Amino acid sequence: MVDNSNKYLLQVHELKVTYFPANGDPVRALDGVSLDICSGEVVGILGESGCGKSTLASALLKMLPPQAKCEDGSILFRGRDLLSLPERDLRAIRGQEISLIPQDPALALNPVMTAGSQVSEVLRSHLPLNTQQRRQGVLDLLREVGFNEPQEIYSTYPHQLSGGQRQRIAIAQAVACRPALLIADEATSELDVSLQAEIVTLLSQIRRQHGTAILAISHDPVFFAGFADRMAVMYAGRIVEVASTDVIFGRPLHPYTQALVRIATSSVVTGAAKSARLPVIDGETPNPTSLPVGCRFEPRCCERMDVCSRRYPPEFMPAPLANVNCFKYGEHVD
Amino acid sequence: MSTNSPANRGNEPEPIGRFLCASGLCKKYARGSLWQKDRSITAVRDVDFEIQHGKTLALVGASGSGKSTVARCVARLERPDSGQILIGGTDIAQLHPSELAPFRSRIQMVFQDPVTSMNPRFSAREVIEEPLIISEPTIIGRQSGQVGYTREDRRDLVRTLMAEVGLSPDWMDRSILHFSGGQRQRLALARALVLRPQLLVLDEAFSGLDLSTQAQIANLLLDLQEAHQLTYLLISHDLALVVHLADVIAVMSGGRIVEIGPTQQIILNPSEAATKKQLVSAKLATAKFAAAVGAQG
Amino acid sequence: MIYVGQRLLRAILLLAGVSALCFLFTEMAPGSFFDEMRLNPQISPETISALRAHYGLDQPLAVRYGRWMKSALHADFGYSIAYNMPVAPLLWKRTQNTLLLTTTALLLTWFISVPLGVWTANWREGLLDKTVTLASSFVISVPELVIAVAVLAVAVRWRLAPIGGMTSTDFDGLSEWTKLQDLTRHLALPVLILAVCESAVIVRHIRASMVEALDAPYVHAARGFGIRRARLLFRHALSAAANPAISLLGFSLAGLLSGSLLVEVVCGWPGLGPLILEATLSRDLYLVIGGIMFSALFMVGGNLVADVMLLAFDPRIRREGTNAD
Repeated sequence: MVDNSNKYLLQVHELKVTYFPANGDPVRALDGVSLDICSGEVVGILGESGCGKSTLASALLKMLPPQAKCEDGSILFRGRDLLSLPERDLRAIRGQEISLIPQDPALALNPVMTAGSQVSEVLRSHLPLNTQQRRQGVLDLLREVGFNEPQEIYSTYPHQLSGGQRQRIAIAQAVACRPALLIADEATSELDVSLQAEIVTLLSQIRRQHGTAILAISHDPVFFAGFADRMAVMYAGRIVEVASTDVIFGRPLHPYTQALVRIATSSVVTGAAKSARLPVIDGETPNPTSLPVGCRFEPRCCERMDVCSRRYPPEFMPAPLANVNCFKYGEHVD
Repeated sequence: MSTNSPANRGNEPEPIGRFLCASGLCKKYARGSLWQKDRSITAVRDVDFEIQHGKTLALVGASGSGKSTVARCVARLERPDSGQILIGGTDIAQLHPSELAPFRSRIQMVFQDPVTSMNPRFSAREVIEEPLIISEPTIIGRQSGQVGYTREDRRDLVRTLMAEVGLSPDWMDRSILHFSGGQRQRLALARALVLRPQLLVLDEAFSGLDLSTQAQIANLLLDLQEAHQLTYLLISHDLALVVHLADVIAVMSGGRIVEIGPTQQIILNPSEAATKKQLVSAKLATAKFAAAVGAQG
Repeated sequence: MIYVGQRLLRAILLLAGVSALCFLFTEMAPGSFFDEMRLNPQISPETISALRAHYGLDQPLAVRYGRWMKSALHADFGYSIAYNMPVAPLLWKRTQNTLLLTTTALLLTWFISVPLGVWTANWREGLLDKTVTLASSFVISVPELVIAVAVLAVAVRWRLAPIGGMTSTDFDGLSEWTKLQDLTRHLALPVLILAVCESAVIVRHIRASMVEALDAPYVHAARGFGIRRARLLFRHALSAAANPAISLLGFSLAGLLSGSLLVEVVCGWPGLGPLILEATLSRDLYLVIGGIMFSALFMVGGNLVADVMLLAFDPRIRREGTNAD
């Protein structure tokens, strides 16, 4: 057997995260999520709101809110289990090895600190640089994320910047210490279409130049096109399909993925004549406090079988490098 | 449902034609303080457009281009500094709030974030019937000659509306906290429809929703438009949905409408740089996606 | 600069308003300085009316206000009938004492409140947090007078510090160093009473704005970049929480001033408090008005300082200021 531990940068195995709200039933946000990310790879996580994708992002940095608990599983980063590391070691990893690009650039920057000093803070907390070196480092970073006049940007405050510029500052913070893995949680969903494209281009460029692996999270399949190498589709706290982006878009396996891609295709590509209706997925995402026993998509699935409501489908591999949790692709005897 | 039940009364569709005509709309926002009153930011300048009865006009443009200000002026949440907004021969642009009441029920606005515009202590029924209770003594009673709704009438109306927007009427007494994002947007639509308006102003009513939910709401809007001859003023930055829903697209940039025309014409033959910029970036993403989908399937 | 100018103009208008109201109210208040003299059969009514004329009290209100304004602009603030001298020098000496008391109390208040507020916000629901919350609720709900008396009682019982006055009787004979020590010991109790009462309020506000800042997405994001907890607290969160805290500085000065008037009376501190009280009781018109004006002046001055500090700390306000150019 080949030892795979070097090949993978990050290995998430059977991760289970539960929220214990102060009043109300516990909610299992992640229910056995497994995912591997190789160095320099862009992995996309596609899922709708409430599927647990943001919980996954916070769990990877062990920055879950206090009422959430990792109940089971492991997160191996370069062979070390992040879940068992003390806060000191985690702090050294955050920002230096794994960085999170926050969701809403308008809220993610400190309103009373200059853009430059916020980038500088990240350098300061990880690298032994003097003031001069730090300033130079920040200016280089600002230039790298697309500011032509970094000196001016250095001393501006967030409220003086546009949404796209703020997101660039956040990216500069995230890549300041050349992390091996970037997590982009809905990093463009608050921006205009044209800015979204620019940010995706910037992220691709960072990955090319520094070999940074990127875990990109979005609810919009279009975001991943031409950007992600592989994609994982999440539904109600579980990953239902992992495959290369080509397969996800070209020959999606899981009925949920198929429906999502169909919706995206019809609304985006055709711009169909008015009065034609868009394809939809009937129903709603299941209530996280009372999940179905079997496949979680079963109540909304148009290809459901008897077995689907009884057992959760195991992982099948109908094509090379494509894993799917659906009984369509395997024996369905009980 | 009998035909003169509360749900079905209200304004019968007017003859096909122009529903609303805005011309020369200007709106400035004052900045600064008591000492420098002259400092202001022009949000909208010289905006002209028409909306045909039962059709959809979409306003698109980058953030800060003035789309929302136009929408708020049309719904008269703002008073335009100058210009006209003609509805059936009346200019509502400068009407005093007391004279606006009959128009308030004909124009309703649906906001981006349905959660913040609803009282979290309310049940679905209370949310939907709230406009009814607020406006009833003034307009509806006067218009129809009817004194008012009984509690039972209101309940029936809520039941009808919830069914119409695709929510189970059995949920009417649930707190709105138990509704998901998409369901709350449906509630917001039901609330907007309770006064049987003719024009709905939809300000980014799709943002923040999931793709599949967006599609559901888009379909619902088309259904409602067909059923009630509703006129829509749609504000969105999602070009794909705009193309799907709108009859006419107006592209805004720097507070002006730089291009306006039938949807297909704008999409296929854009003439303005601002339009092209929007289209190119949208199409770039689309093209990559189309290539990915097409390559295999 | 325009921002500061605006604030300054506003402050001046405010002071003018306060003075006008002062005049109106003292005019409406019953009684006058000469009431006692009238009861004295040895003083003729003619003498009294001559005295009234001498002090200008027989003039209509508007004329008196005009005269007073003129004298205020000359920094006299009218004439005290009881002390038979201009009000300003009289007030000035007392003011120095009040200022010494309030500034020391202000410093102590912030010295207590800021670390305590940051600490309790960081260890929310911890033992210290709960203790501080409980203690501050207690102090806020008990009248200041009761606290002052309680502190005095404790101090007397265990002879902790001298009570009453500002200096010991043999003060003039002491060396510079022992003079300072003596002053400090006399200062201890009133400052302690003021600081405790004021901290109870301030610490809650600081805790609240720190909690808000710590829960803000930007602090969360900074934590995600691996920034140390201590730096997160004092550089990132505290700088964002400083804005409401600085606005509070103006308020806390107001609270301290009104508190100090009471504490001075209770502790026998020779500040503005006892003087204003005495002047009010004897209806020494201009002295009352002068005292109130001096207090108002500090209050407005304190708020002005807070505004300027806000300008220096918060870039968002600075922008409004520069936009005006």
